[in-house]
Formats: sequence, structure tokens, C-alpha cells
Amino acid sequence: MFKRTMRCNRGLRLLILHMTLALIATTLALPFVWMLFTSLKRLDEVGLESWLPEVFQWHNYADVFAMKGILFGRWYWNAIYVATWVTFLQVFTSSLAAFSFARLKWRGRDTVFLLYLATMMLPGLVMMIPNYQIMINLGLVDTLSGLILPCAFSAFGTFLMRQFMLSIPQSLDEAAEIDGASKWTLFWNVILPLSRPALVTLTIFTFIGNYNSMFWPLVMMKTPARYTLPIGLMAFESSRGQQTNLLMAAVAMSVIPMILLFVFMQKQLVKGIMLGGVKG
Amino acid sequence: MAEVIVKNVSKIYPGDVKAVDNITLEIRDREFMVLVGPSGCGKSTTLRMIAGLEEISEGEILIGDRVVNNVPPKDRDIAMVFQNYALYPHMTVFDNMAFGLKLRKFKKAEIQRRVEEAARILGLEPYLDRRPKNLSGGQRQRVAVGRAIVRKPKAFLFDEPLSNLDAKMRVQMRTEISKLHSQLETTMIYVTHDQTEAMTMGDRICVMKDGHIQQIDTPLNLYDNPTNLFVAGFIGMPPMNFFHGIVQSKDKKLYFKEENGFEVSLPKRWNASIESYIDKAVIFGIRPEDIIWQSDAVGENAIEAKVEVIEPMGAETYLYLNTNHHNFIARVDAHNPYKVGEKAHLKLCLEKAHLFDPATEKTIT
Ligand SMILES: Nc1ncnc2c1ncn2[C@@H]1O[C@H](COP(=O)(O)OP(=O)(O)OP(=O)(O)O)[C@@H](O)[C@H]1O
Ligand SMILES: [Mg+2]
Repeated sequence: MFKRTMRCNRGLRLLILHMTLALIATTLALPFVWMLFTSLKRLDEVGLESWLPEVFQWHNYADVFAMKGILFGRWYWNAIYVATWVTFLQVFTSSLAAFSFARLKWRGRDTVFLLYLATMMLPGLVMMIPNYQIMINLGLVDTLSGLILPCAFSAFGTFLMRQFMLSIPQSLDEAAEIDGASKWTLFWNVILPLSRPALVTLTIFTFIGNYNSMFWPLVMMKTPARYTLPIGLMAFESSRGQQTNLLMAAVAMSVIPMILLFVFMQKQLVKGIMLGGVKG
Repeated sequence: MAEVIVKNVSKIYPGDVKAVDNITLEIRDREFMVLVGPSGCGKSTTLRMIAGLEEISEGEILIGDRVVNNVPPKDRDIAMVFQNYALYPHMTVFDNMAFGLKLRKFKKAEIQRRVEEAARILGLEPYLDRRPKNLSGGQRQRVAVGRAIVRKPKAFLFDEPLSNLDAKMRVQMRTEISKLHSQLETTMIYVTHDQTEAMTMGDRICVMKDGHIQQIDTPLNLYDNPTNLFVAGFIGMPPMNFFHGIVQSKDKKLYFKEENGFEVSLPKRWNASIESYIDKAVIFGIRPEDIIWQSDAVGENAIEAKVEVIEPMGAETYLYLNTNHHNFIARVDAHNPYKVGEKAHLKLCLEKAHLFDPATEKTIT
């Protein structure tokens, strides 16, 4: 009797939970759906009450590439190129720094870490002018490298990785040390593979954050051929009047890498959570 | 194969914690040496200094005639098995065992051969492709042992390898490690806080307390001739009974008189060593199995006590007794006549009893 009530309660709770989640998911998906439909409308249909286009204008997507003054393919590539490099560099440098902060012993380690962490307190905009000055000195203004370099290091990423690495049992380091592993082997063959969940999280955060970033490219880039998507999409609005349907098609396409990344990484995230080598 | 010599070694942790205080310990070639002692006595610290995981504050450690104070762990030619297994969770059983060999640039075929041999010895053959998380605790510990034996090191170090296993598994692994020792004929140093493990596995046992070595001896010698009160109480289960009292002399015979309690006459052969203790306080120690029951209170060294708890173990029974002033335990024949609350008649057999000096806690006889 008691058991049955419990089971009913549990079923009810699950139902409520799922309905709530479904509601939230729908709310979040709606603008996205609106965007997709709009991207398939004729220009004069945009803004009408009906969400559905009269006829699906699939050619809108091809038209985006053919628009005058819009180097969509180029910007697309630039955005992916920059975001990929930034992600790779940031994840790599953050992991290395985190390894040092979490697993190596050196004097003043925790103080240095706190100082590094304190840089997170500075708003990004404050850093923009000194960063720009440095890029001028390096001759990297208006180059893709200039977009990548300042974003190759991250206190947040280091913090995230360090916290995760701290949770890996110390005895693994000792076992590896006795097995004959150098510090690099320990990092590369033991700690890094075990940090997969944190790596995946950081990869997603970094890629999406950088792929969508606008201010720094806006400050840095002058030559249209070197724009990334976020500033490129702004050019859409200004140069061609309001071609909302084409803009929506461009936005829809620009979202694809993020969705792919997420789908792929999510699987890794689940696979990455492996415990059991250590009893604790 | 090598002997391990720990010479006047101390360990001072940051914050002036003296975990190990000037210990000297010689572990012979192919010996199974057990370090045993209560929690926090410095066993792990000693082992970790031998492994090279902990710096040696004072003294020196030799492994096979070589001073290793400044030799990194990987070059000491030792292997260690940890309490929490410390397997690499992302590697298969095979890779876990092969990792150390790969890093030492062994040939592929040789790695294969050694890992398979270890797997055969440890019964791990069916699991070579599994990840540690898909193994039971006992199997994981076996992998950890396998990882140690593939390297064929000069010495094996174990830090409480069985304490995360359930009781049955523990007994099984205990005999397996003992067998392994005779099979591999290697020096093994084994840390445990469990005196049963120590007694059953060790060729010799080193009993530690508060960073000091109390006694190093074979299991039976430790049991029969403890050097002090601590060793006497630590080795043996149920533990030795202790009674406070004084030595008295009556008609040229010496007696132990418990504080307001019973009196036992002490063996003649003790006379020489306890003469100076006449009328002085001593501690009398007797093991539970040297207290036997008899049908009534007659004869020498007979005492009466109330039975408070009876614990039948099958082959024998533990009686928890009370003399009105003092609790103690007797380990008697399972088929004794007593019930809880009754008065039991007991006889103390003094052949293996001991007297201790209460001030120094050293054994007098
Ligand atoms: N890294 C450390 N820093 C400071 N003190 C330490 C450190 N490691 C151990 N100690 C102290 O040194 C003493 C001995 O520790 P050790 O780990 O050797 O004990 P143990 O005999 O192995 O005990 P257990 O049976 O609990 O494992 C303890 O008092 C402990 O608190
Ligand atoms: Mg310990």
C-alpha cells in the first residue's frame, strides 16, 4: 500500500517535471522556429501575422551567398577559423596552467592562482584598450591573428579546469610517478584524459562565446573580407536596407556550427564521466 | 631482489609534525615485513619515504646497497600498491598493467608476455579488456597488484591494500598475497593497522607507535614475548588482559595482588627479575586463552568472576567477565557450563603471563 502511493507519487512528480521541461523547451524553441519560417518567406511577407510562408522560398539560402557587398561565405569561414583556434588554444593553455595549479607543487602557487583569478574581476571592456594598444605594437590590428591571440588565455578556463583536476585523486599521480611517468606524461596520459568532462564544458563555452563575440572584432577589423559573422550580420542591416528574410536565412546558417558542436560534445560529455579506478 | 635498510630516519612534515622519529629497520632480501600500528603512527609515512613519494628529513634509506635518498621513485626499482587501488580509470586492465612497461620502453611482445603472465597468476585473464569501473573491489586490487608485478621490481610496497575490501575478500586476498610472495621471492613491505593481517602474513612484524618502532620480531615471538605494554595489548585478538596491582612477598613466595581483588602466586623463575618490585606497583598481563574454567574455585590461582557477556565463536567462546573491580576476557572451550549473570570459576595459567613496569611500560618478565 505504502509502496504503491510512493510509486504513484513518483509517477506524478515525473509527469509534472516533464511537462515543465517541455514548456520551457517550447518557449526557448519558438523564436528559433519563427526565424526559420521567416527565412523562407518573401520579403513582403515578413512581419505578417501568419508564421508560415505562402510558398517556401528555399532559394533565400542561396541568395545570401550571392548578395552584393555581403561576403557571407568568407565571414562564415573567418568566424569558424577564429573560434576554432581560440578554443583550441584556450583549452590547451588553461589545461596546462590548471595542471600546474592543481597537481604541481611550487612556492607561491596558490597566491599566483588567486592573483590570476582576480583578473576575472575586470570587465572585458576595460581590457579592450590595452589589448588594442598591444595589437598595434605587434602589428596585428585588422588581422585574424589579432582576433585570436588575446583570447588564447583565460582565467575562467584555468579556474574551471583546476577545480576539476583537484577532484582527481592524488594517488594517481603517485602511481604514475612510480610507473615512471614524467610530469608531461602524467598530464597528457592521465590527468588530461580524466578531465574530459571539464574539457568538453570548456570547449563548448569557449567556442560559443568566441563565435558570437562582437566587440573585439568590431574594434579590430576594418577590411570587410576579414569580418567574422557577428559584425558581418550587422553589415547586412546597414548596407542592404531591411532584407529581413535573407538576414534570417544567414542567421539560421550561422547557428549550425554551434548546434553541431553541442550535439557532438554532449555525447562526449556523457562518455567522459568515468569513475571507478579509485576507491574513495 | 634486495634488502631495504632504513637507517635513523625521521620525517618532519611542514608545521613541525614529527611523523617518524629516528627509526632503524632492516628488511632482509625476500623478506615479508609488515609495518603495523594504530592510525597515525607513521606507517604510511615510512613506506612512502621508502617509495620516494615523501622526502626524507633525516637519516638514509638503502635499497639493495644503494642510498636512495635522492633517487626519484621511478629509479628506485620498487612498485607500490595503494589502499584506494589508484588504477587509471580511463585505461583497460591490460593498459593499466602495461603503462609502466610502455614508459620504460619495453618491446611490445615483452609487454604482452609479462601482462599475460601476471593476469594468469592473478586470475585476471577474462578481464583484460575491461575498465576498472567494471570490476569488483577484489578484482581491482588484483589489477593493482598486477601492475606492480609486471615490472619485476626489487621490492613491493603495500599500503593497506585490503582495507577497502569486505571481510571475506580480505581473507582471500591475504592468502593470495602470501602465496604471491613465496612465488615471486621478492622483498615485500606491507603496511596495515590490522594485527591479524600482520600476524598471518609477516615473516617479521615491525610494531610502530607515535613515530617510534616498538618491536621488530617474528609473529610468534611478538605474541609470546612483547617488549612492552603497548605491543602486548596491540598484538592478539581478543587483546591481553591487564590488571593493576602490587608484588607481595609472603613466606618467601612472591604474589601479585590486584588492587582490592584477587591474588596469584608468581612462578619461581620470575623471582630474580621481580625482586626489586616487591611492594611496588606493577601491571599483570595475561592472554584470554590462558584463563581456563574449572568446576569450582579450588587450587592455586583460582579466581571467581561474574559472567557479563558470552560470545560463542563456534570453536571457542569468549567470556566477558567482571571481578567486581575489573573487566577481563577469557577465551574458553565452547562447551562451558556458564550463563550470563552466573559466577564463573577460573584458573589463571601463568606460563605465558607477563608483568609490566607501570612507569616505563616495559616488560619485567
Ligand atoms: N602531508 C602531511 N602533512 C602534515 N602531517 C602529515 C602529513 N601526512 C601525514 N601527517 C601526519 O603524520 C602522522 C603519521 O601519518 P601516517 O599517514 O604515516 O600514519 P599511518 O600510520 O599511515 O596512519 P593510518 O593507519 O591512519 O594510515 C600523522 O599524525 C599525520 O597526521
Ligand atoms: Mg596510512
